[in-house]
Amino acid sequence: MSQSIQNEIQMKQSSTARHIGKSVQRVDAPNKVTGKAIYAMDIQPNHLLHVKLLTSPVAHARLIEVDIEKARQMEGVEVIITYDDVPDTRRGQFILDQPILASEKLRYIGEPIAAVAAETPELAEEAVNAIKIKYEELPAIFDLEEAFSKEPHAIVHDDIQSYQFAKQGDPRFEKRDHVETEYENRPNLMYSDTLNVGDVDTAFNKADYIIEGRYEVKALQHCSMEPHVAVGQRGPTGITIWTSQQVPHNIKTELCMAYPDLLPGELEIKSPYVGGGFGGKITPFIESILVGILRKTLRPVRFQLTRAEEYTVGVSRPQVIVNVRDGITKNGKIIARDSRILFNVGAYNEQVFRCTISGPSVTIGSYDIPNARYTSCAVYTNLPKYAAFRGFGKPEVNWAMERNMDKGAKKVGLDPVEYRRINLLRSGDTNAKGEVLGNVDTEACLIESSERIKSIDVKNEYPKYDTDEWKIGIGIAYGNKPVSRASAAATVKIQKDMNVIAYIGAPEIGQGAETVLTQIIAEDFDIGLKKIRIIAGDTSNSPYDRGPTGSRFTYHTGNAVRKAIVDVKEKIFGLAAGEFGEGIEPIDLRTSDGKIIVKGRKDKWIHINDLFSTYGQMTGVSNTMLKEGGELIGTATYDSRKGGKHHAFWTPVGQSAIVAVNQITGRVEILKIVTAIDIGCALNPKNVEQQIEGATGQGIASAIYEEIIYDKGFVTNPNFKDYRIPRTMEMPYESETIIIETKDEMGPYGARGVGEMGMIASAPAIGNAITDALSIEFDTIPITPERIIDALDKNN
Amino acid sequence: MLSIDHMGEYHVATSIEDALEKLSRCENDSQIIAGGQTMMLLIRQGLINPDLLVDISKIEQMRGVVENKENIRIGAATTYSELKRSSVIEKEFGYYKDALSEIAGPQVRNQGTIGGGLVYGDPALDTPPVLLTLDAELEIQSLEGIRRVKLEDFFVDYYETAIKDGEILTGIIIPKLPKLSAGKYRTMTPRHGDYALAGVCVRLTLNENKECICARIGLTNGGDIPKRAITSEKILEGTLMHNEIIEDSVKCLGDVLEINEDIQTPKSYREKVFDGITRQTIIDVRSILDGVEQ
Amino acid sequence: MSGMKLDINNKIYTVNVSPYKSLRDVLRYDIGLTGTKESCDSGVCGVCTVLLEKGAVKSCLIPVGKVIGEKITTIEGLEIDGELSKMQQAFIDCFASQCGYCIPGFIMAATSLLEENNKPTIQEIREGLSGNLCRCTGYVKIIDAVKKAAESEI
Repeated sequence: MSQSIQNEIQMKQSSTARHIGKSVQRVDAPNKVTGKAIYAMDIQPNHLLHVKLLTSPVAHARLIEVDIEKARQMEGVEVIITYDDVPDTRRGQFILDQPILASEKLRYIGEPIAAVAAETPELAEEAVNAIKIKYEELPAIFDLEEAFSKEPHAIVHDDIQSYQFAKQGDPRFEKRDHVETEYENRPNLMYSDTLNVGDVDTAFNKADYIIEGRYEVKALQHCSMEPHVAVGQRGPTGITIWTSQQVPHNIKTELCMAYPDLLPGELEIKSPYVGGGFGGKITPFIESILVGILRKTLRPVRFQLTRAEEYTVGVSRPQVIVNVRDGITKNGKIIARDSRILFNVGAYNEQVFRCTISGPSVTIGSYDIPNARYTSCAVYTNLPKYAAFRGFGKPEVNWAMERNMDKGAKKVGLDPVEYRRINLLRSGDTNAKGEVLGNVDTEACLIESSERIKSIDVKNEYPKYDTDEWKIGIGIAYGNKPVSRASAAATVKIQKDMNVIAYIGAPEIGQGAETVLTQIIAEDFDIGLKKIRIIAGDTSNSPYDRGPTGSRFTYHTGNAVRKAIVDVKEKIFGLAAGEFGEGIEPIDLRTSDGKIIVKGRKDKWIHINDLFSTYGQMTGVSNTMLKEGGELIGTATYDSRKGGKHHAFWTPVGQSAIVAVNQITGRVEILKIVTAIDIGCALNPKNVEQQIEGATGQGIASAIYEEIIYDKGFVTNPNFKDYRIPRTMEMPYESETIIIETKDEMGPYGARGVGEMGMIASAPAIGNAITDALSIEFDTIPITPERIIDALDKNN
Repeated sequence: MLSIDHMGEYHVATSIEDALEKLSRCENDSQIIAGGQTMMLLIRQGLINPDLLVDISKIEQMRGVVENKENIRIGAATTYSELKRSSVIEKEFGYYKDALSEIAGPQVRNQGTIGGGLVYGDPALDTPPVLLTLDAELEIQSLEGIRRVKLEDFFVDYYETAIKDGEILTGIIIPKLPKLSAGKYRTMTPRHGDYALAGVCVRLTLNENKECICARIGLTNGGDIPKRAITSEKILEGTLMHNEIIEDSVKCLGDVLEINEDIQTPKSYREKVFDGITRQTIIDVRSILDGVEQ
Repeated sequence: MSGMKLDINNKIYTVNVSPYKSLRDVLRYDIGLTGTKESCDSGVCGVCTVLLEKGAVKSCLIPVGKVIGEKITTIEGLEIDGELSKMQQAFIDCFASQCGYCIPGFIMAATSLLEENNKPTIQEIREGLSGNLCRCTGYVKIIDAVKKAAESEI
């Protein structure tokens, strides 16, 4: 990026900003409170066909035959597809391991075998029931640790050596050759990532104490309120698929790879408002089947997962097991850490490889540990597939890290806050991976969150819990969360009267992207918020965007938008200078509310409309046609991968909680939870609170409520009744957000990402609080009432 | 998007006689629907496929809470929300409100009826244990006439009650409680509004000497049917209910509890919680009565 | 049942569907009022909440034959002559909506709550909304919005 553009982007950091730093009303709110907002669930063309799946009833089997003859004749059936009807490709991110429909093997209960498209969902279901399959059951493996072993009793992908690897969006493929650790020759290992810095074993020998533990996170489900749904329609130029997805461009890329004869221009993906994603809506497991059907009919086709199918055909957050050893001195300094992390992939990879790479960064990202080692492994099992969930594995690993920190503090007799403070990485410090931490106030996050909790007079604030039944506990935790480097592009178009349209590749999934981008654009042009329209999530008109994933959207797309604005301003000012004449240079100009003004000369201006043509217009100025140059468009890429850093930025969070535990029932009430985050710049403070409250809520859910319960590979609780997704009475109303603003060097207006941050330390803060309340260590989440009563019983 | 295209008949009955007549004339599969909170799910899951639904929710004779001299009559089609608002219930056995607050959520309570829950025979519902502590009777009507059944005889087996084809549960009759009575309902649910993992309703009646002359302990989700812990009750009766006696009473819960092992919730958990909440609830009711003026 | 007349948002709609079809599906697919949503399809999540005269109900659990002749209000019926209801405005002002999918259901449940109890405590608001699920917000600002709407009615 040139220095002038960088300067341009860095300007306006002050408090005289017109829109930045203000809690402006969300631009999507009026449509959402009136029922006018359209989601993919609401798209209903006429003459729809409805899709139902035949899925595998067994966890592992050789598939011998699929007989669709009877089903094909049934009333209302238009299309049935099986493996024979789709390309003989495997799709995937990173490793191409997944057929579009099951071929020779069935690898999990719920694996799609055939898809029926019929006039109504009932008729499709009846046809599904008429499909006959023959299979030969094989031993199946569910236990993660056993699956990881050198001699598991079952191997999920026995032909994995023949699989190819995918480079995202890049048609070149790589052969598998990356495994270089002592963990080779583990037949269910899909991938492993390692780090070895310093001299860990010598440091352990020198340590005064070894603090170690095995920590487990059980699987849970995204539970987006809008289920996965896709509606495909044939149009004049090809197929359009409306779908509830976070990354339409990724869907398109993966579909074109899975269907090699599809030309990119023949397929467009559109995501309108998305009813929640959280990482579960990134890969095309339903769209890949939908395309197979669309190629066999001219009718529009709708494919929606039932809520039960969300747990089997859909994806969930993986079970993770972490073994960690800390070597510490008696003064509380951590001098060595060794972590072994197992991620459960499920039967096929949907993003878990990404968790395997990014999850372990929290082992070395929060504290100064000069001798550090980790091995992070993605392991196949015969379970329904897992994917990333708000944090890409970091919250799961941080559960282990922050529980182990509390044990270390206890061992040396230090307050848990002080123990962390001693070891904390601060701005300018280098972590074990050699990354220098940028401009953040990590200590403020740790201290302000814990001080707030300590300031509460618990007995007076919560008298209801001052009885024999209840035990109160206080817990704190911390995490420094990195955000991966990425690349994003944006296009802005200026129209008559300074109306601005921005074309953004990523949809609004609830995080407030539309609003924040609107604020940035309005600020950079110095115009009102209502002048701006964001057209988002449509591959037919937007440039590439990695989507609202990994807390990287505001930072990358925000910067891309700012660069695109600089680009279009060059055109505006170039044309305007011509209009002014009199030796006015482009550099002398600025925009403000539809005017192009000479800097320092408020009286000397032209209107933006003076650049537009009046050709052929009965009533004045063209909406879109300039006198010179066509449309007034600016476009730009922002790529944070330049500059040699491992990550784009780090956002620290400190979280603390007060809990009450009932000793008769094991129920846990969260009385208060506090999050302190150094966001760099709160572009919209209320929006920051929204994200923190939501992510913290999901962290609470992971800590004490939610668990997918399997019985030999069968999901026993695939509904909101038996699966304990929390309601209003289960979540604390007292969820506080403390915003700290130490400006990021490169973020838009100094802003960093926030989406995932509330997840990073909330579960361990609660786990530490429950441990404090009962003086019993809990190493597995969720800490359910059943587990609490069992632990209390064993303790007595 | 489950569209139900099954074309059946839907009859909104205007009186009990009208409902009974309609049911008797139907040759095919007919069902009674009250609030519909359970019925709609059964139809969608394909477990029930009726040709006729007779809706009894708008029959005036079956709605409302009426206070008589000796008892309270609750119309079977009264919704849980209406019961929650009833000042008669508040006055006569206000502890039923503890249970009403635990039933699902506000929307389900606006539709769901007390009769619909009873006839369904689900042992995990909150209302039956409360009514068992009140010695309730049920009023059942058919074309042959009206009969009364004691609630404790109504639950036959898992989801099976004493109601026969062609009969409608029309009312619940609750005798007024003697003076010096108090009660409490307590339940442990994973989330508020869920089915109870363990629940108990305790009602105690004392004499002037503070001796317990009547003890009723109703159990929620304690077995295949809603039931009372009869041996536990007998231990309390005739005593001043000191803590040791309460211990003996709670020990007898095992006589009636029939809990299955469940993959999410072990049997041992539910047994321990029944133990703990029954003990605490008996103590709580005793405390309420300690504070009552003679 | 042919020629079934439904009174929705003070308008009469005539539909030809099975009386067992859920009110939710009739609203969304036969009439085209998609503001009422679908999610769990088992009566737990509340995104399908609409108002009858008796209060908020889950439209996925109402067979349409049950509500002929009753006044039904959906989210689309709260805005009158371009003016949002106090509850809708409070949801905007308090940043209660994120992905927004659960919001129509919450607004209907909250509207019913205030009709029954116009001065609810925080605890009463939480109980009154315990039939609705949200995944995005942690409920905090939804509760704030209901509180604000209650205060603005006085």
